[in-house]
Amino acid sequence: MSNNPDTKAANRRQFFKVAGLGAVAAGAAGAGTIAAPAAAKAAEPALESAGYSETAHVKTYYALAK
Amino acid sequence: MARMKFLLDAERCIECNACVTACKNEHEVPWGINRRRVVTLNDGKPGERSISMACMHCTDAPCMAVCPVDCFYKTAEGVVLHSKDLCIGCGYCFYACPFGAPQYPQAGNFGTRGKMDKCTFCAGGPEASTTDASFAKYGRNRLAEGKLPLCAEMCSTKALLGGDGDVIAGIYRERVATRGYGSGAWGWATAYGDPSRT
Amino acid sequence: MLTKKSSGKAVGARLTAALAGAAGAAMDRRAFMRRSGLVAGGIAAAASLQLKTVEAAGAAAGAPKFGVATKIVKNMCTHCSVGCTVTAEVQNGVWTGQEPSFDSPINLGAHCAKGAAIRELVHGDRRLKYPMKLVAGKWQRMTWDQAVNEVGDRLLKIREEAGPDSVYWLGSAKFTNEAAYLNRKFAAFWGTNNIDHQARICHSTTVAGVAQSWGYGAQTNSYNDIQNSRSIFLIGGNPAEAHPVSLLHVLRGKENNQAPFIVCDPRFTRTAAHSTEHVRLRPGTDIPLIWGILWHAFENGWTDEEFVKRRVYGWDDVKKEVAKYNPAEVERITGVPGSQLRRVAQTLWNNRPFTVIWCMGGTQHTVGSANVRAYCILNMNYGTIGVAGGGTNIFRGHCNVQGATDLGLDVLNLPNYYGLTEQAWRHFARGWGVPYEYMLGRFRSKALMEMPGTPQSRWHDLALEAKANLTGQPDNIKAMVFWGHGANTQTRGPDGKKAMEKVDTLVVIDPHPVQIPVMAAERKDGVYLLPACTSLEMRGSRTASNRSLQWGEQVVEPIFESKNDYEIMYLLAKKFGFAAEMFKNIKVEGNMPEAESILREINRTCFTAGYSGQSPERLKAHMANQDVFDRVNLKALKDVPAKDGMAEIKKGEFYGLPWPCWGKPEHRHTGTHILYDQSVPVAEGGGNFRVLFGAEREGVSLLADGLFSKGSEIKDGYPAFSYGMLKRLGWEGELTDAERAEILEIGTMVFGGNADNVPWNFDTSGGLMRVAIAHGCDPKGNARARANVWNFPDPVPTHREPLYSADREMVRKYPTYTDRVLHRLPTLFKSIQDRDVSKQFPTILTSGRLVEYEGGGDETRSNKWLAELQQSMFVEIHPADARRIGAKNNDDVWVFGPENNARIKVKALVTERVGQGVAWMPFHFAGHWMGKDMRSSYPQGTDPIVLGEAVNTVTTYGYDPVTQMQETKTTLCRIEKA
Repeated sequence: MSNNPDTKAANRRQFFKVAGLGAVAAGAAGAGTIAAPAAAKAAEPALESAGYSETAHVKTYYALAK
Repeated sequence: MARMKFLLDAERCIECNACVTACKNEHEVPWGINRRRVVTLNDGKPGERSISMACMHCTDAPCMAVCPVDCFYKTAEGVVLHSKDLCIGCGYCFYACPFGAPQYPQAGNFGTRGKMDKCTFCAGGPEASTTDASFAKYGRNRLAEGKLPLCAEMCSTKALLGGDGDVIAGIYRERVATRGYGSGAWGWATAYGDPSRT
Repeated sequence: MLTKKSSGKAVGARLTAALAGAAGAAMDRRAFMRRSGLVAGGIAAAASLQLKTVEAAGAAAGAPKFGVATKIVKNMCTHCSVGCTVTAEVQNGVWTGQEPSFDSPINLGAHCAKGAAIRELVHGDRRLKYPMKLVAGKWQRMTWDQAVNEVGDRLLKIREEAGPDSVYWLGSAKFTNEAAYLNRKFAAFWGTNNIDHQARICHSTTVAGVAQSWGYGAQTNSYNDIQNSRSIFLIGGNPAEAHPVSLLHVLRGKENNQAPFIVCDPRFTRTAAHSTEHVRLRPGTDIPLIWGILWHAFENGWTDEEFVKRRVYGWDDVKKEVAKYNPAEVERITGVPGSQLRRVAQTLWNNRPFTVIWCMGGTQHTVGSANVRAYCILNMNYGTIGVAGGGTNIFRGHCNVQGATDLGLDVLNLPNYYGLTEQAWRHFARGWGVPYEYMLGRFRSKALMEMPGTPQSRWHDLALEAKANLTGQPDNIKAMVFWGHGANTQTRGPDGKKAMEKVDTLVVIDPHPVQIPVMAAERKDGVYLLPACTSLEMRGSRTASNRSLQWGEQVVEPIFESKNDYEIMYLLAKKFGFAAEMFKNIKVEGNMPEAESILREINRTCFTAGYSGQSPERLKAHMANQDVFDRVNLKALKDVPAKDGMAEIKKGEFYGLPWPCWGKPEHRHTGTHILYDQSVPVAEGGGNFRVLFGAEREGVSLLADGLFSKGSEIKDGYPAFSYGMLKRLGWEGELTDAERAEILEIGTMVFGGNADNVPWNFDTSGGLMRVAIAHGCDPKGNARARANVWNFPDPVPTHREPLYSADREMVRKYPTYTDRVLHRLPTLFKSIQDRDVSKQFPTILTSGRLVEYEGGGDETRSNKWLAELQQSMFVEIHPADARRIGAKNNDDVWVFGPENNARIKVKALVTERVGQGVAWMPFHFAGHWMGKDMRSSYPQGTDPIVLGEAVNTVTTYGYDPVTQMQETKTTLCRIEKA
């Protein structure tokens, strides 16, 4: 397709991202009753811990796996 | 912060599928959706080995890279999760994933895809994990309960290890040393030649 | 970022292909099944599950609720004999979650597919929900009152007209110990010995052969102890599928000790895939294989001479027999080259102790009881019995098949191996608090009371055989009760079907309708389905394969209208008019007998295999404190004081008080982890081989020579203890007054006034045991293991070809037994073998297990999480055989059997897993009958998700002469493309 696949790929991703967001936005605007209000809020990525910690339970698992 | 990983000890895996049903049991995953499955190579022949596969929670996750609506995110432990509210069920992550991890329920009579479903490393989704709504979409958040993925916790032979990558890698290294021969991991022979013991 | 991706791409593509099952050559069973099952799965899915776009969960019922209190309840998995603890999370009486049971020393949190999916069994989507009966060919709902009355009236009428022996009570290896004991007692009160359970068709030959060799018919060591083995010899078993969690211990043994792992099997099984040596033998040639190994051992001096000289009887007879099996002859019979067997013989010698493990590949043969004896003799040769890391580790099948066997769910025993003699009846009459004469009055005659019943493998013959051909049995059976037992696991399916059509009444008491609606589809009435709950919905103990007893708490109330076995037995006993007598010493509230109270009666009466010391209080303490036990030797590492109605645990007790647990609970015996272990005192779990046949035979001693358990004051072999022997030893004065009084009473009530004859196991005071053990002695004596079992058809095992053999030259050289009358029925051997069908049926057919299903499969095929894993019945065919008939993977093929014009339609799975000329099928399927889908004959909503042909529709005649074990592992068939 293109002589420069890297550029092409990057472009394709950008295209998709824009298109994707557009679709969501359109969906939210056009059919608000279908998409739950929570949907928009859930978009904020939780760049935090999922809660892992080395509890007694987890330590037992590691010990038994040896 | 510990980095969450799965590690499959193929020398131990007996293809019992406990990991598959444990996952179904824990998250009430419906028929046709397999967040985890066991694949057997050289089935019925010498050299037969089984490997249990799910989302590998890649460091540089191709699904995240290609998602058109950016529904993926990563936790501090390196668990790759996604929002089913954002997901449009396009299936692009399925093409990108080297492991076939993303799953799609049939959404209608014309083979249309529903929202993508995959292994969460038993870490739920973007919503507060202790709600029925979150359970319905992502299943339980065992990590937040101080536990590990149930598939690994229930593995019949402790073949499937899950948890802090450093710790489980240590456990695995110890096993290999005890055995006194090379890893039975699938791909070992390709990478390092035939195992020393035949 | 992108550079990395390109290097990973090749692997990724390959993996994806494998995951999708796309690579034709690499197709595995899962990929195969996913494709072949698409249609069935689609239908099942559509019928049973609503797939939603967003929700992961299909069923709301049973999902965990947040903010609701959660109760943790422990019970055991019901799917095999490993005894995995199941930890249930219960909210508002609903089982909503399952956690790993890390504390269990047996499973350490692990489960297989079945154990990890067991919660669904109690969701019960496909369970039998209320009592039903067939009326004019339609299923009709009824109340429990109606059901008990109608079934009761019909059975009472048969009892009146044809006698109590005309009702067959087929019990269950899934019963709790308490239910198994109660069920045996129930049959006694009904007045018949026609009672049996699954052990008959899984390990009856093991129980008989091993008991005759060592003294007890049970696993000698434990799953955990395999971690101590220096090598592992497994024959006729595929525990990777049948007992997956056992592989946790097996593989640890293999890895930690760098132990050679030798697997002998006609198939390259999932277990063989993890072996260090796979020995592929022709089905049905186990004895020549073992003799082929011993031939090399004898040639090279690889024999523990000290052991066979001092602890074995009849060794020279073995040497004589083995001499006939030189390497060339063995290769001719088994197909295994001598060089391989020499390597095996040497490997075992160099890596002792080793354990011998077997399952149904060894037991389910016309020579089953001889096979298992050959395996024991292998152990004898190398002296690897009664030691840690050694032993015959028989993996039992069902979750409580060991317990149900121990508690006499059997045609030739009262509970705990007391037999059916007058003394045995008097012993139990005394324990039950009813006069012996009352029990005698329940039977047609004293002769029938003491005559073994007919094993369940032959129940259809008991219904179909001409009355004139019955020996002892007064009349044909008129009613068949399947109480926790399937019918597709019995061979000769078409005969089973005929019998179901002939009898007056068919009763199923089970969580599922099993296959009866399919096999009795042509009946219009007289079929009753009563919903029993699972063992997870009731309290009680179960005995794992390693003889540990584990106490299970009730997870939830019985679902729908199901009732537990205790209550159903009580209701029927009441209907039959013997409830007051039967439950005289058992606490009953309303209609509900108390499990603890039944166990106490077991403790008071069952001394032979040492079920006397495991009180409910002790078992509950062990279950509540699982974490104090060592995970290899199962010993309590510290004391735990009594609390909350639970007994104390003493350091050194073994987990689950594995039997024998001698004496009374208050004697605090540790239980016995390793049977016949002379390296520790009896008080700490040591022991000797059991004296079963006195001190000598034809002038040759049957007692051990100068070897004895540690600390024994009798420093030689000795007979089993009795009151008379205690007197002769001068230890009688050590009995308490109460013990002596009880022994004298037993002398009067059971032994006609001769108290000296009261043996150790009839002494319900526990005094004889207590005193013997105080002197370091084993109450059951100190015998030799028997390599020559003179009371078996072949005193030393010898090769006999299967009844259906394609190799006629072998048939001529190694013919089977002559026809004979056994267990009330004509039993054919030679006349079957003489019929040569090898031209029409050239392929050897054998059968076995899959990991996702169990037994007849109705529970597991009804479990959506398991059913999804395997959606169609199949036959494994070798590529060369497949080419010959023109069948490809996934094609429909007909498998024809040589009897009854039987045929089944299944999918072909072409694989090198089986050898050329051998076909293999799993036995868990039912619901199709000779090509026809019978889904509509199940009562609505009780049809398992996955149906398929039952392999036993095409299996054939063939029974072990000692136990009537059915032959499921070697027959013939013909396969054609459909």
